Amino acid sequence: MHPSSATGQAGTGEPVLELRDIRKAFGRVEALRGVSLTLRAGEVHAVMGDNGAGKSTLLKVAAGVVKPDGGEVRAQGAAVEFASPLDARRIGIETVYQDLALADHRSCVANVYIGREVRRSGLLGHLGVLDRAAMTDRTSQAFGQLAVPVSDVERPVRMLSGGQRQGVAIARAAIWAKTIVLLDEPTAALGVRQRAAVDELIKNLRSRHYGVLLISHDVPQVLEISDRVTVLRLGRNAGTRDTSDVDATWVVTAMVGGHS
Amino acid sequence: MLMEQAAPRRLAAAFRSAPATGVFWILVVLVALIAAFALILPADTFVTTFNAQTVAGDASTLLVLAAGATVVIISGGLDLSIGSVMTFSAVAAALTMKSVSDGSSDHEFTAALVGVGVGVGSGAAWGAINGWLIAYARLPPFVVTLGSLGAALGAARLLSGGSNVSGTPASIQEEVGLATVFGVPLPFVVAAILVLACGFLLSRTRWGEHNYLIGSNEEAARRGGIAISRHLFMLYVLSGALAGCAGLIEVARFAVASVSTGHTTELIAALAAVVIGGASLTGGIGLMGASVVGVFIPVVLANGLLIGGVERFWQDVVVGIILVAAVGFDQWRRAREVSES
Ligand SMILES: Nc1ncnc2c1ncn2[C@@H]1O[C@H](COP(=O)(O)OP(=O)(O)O)[C@@H](O)[C@H]1O
Ligand SMILES: [Mg+2]
Repeated sequence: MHPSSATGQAGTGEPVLELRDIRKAFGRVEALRGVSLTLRAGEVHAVMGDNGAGKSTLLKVAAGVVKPDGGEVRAQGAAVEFASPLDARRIGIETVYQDLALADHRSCVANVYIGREVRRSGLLGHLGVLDRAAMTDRTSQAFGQLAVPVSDVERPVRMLSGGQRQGVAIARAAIWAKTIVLLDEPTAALGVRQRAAVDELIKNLRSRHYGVLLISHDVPQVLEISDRVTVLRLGRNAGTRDTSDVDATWVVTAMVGGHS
Repeated sequence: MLMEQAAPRRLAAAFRSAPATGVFWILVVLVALIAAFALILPADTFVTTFNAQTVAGDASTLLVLAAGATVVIISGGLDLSIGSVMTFSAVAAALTMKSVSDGSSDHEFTAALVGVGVGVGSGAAWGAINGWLIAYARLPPFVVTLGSLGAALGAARLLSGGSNVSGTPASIQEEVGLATVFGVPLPFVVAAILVLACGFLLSRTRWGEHNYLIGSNEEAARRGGIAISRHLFMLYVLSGALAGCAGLIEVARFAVASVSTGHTTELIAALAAVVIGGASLTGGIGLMGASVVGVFIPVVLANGLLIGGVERFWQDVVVGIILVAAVGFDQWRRAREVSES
């Protein structure tokens, strides 16, 4: 029944990202007060918690957007320090932000290749001329493999539905990620059917052996697609469990502080 | 059944989508304008080779200004200083040519070369000031270029002592400004080359793609790793250099650098052409080809009204009306496009 029991890999892959005792304060607001979390290859690790619990801040630390005040980030066994999101991306960490970060007027292809455009070979390439055909082909191919529900990759993103836009953002992360995909509430704004399509994409990432960190508010979704779940409460880790060992009551109780 | 219907439906969709592209309707307006003038104006006035050459010549400076404005507006920016910078570059180039040639015809070629360098270089320098303030000091483009609009015009008048600069080598006007290549005015050929180069940059290169991306969503571009500040700096340098080229074309055509108006009419016409061409002032949308069509609307209007003996100022009124109508129509069209999809 449970997806992870089908593959038998719940939390058994090698650790690809370790957050150790991460602390972060914004002025007097202590967003993170010493959070530790390990993300393994081939797992969907859900992070849940009430509004303001520190979920997005934790993700931004892992993405190189926010610099922690204390603690350690380790990727593939080595301590890393990210000066910018580019540093995180360089070692294979891609992020789907809550606002998606899509350029609405440009095509799916342009959004997938943003900042990583492919130039032609030879003299034209040196002049900065783009190889649009190659980028379009590779995007179509990737969308097909990842089952992104977009048929025409040359359509401007603003013409797409919410679920399709989400699909483009996730596919972009999947295409460039080498080891880790971080997702911040990817289905918060979606309807039931669109949510199902995004859930399929996330499962697809797991089967490709990525480590997936999934921030979500949606208890049924987390119970359905995650392998492990960590609950944050007031900037602290209120517990990490195998998803197969918990139910909705445990999650909700942990979120509001019932377990001690 | 479904398969049989698909082909005609696709064909119908293609027919419907031709008028849905913004350029199509501006082209319709332009053709209608030309047809109306051709019908109304006396024979052998509007539809003549000579008049076509006049229109092409008149369009040349505006094309160059509009090419720069297209790129700037697509990035979500604005350069209000192009008319003033054009004035400054024209004055600087004219004064340089005069002093290098020193009244003799021996040094005219050198004078022309140095003058071109000074014209383009001074335009690029103003652009660099704009670019630094916008890209690195993060000041709003409207404020920065409104400031340099005044500063460049003031500087041009200081440089020229407040009067127009004439007395550039005569051969420059004869052999460049009034010359034709297979019947096409040379200034127009130069403008066309610059426009084609800018169009290529915009639609075919990585720099051009970054320009669209920054205009569409600057934060997404930043997270994508695009060096925004460096891009914007180069963008305003380009805009300034093109304004410098426009100033040079003016000197070549009229053998005089005028400081009287600061080319505000050209500034307004160039921005109007770009917006009529469907570019969005909020960035991310625009096409070089559409701006080119947009340029010919004010130029043809001015030409037709002049031949018809109508007050020149009607041009500004009519261009204003077309501008507002074009933007209104475009908004309506886009709203419908989104709701249909
Ligand atoms: N850039 C910031 N500046 C100031 N406070 C912030 C900033 N980002 C987050 N916070 C604060 O940190 C706390 C945790 O925020 P966040 O990580 O976004 O929570 P969550 O995603 O779990 O809702 C909140 O109190 C929030 O107001
Ligand atoms: Mg959040």
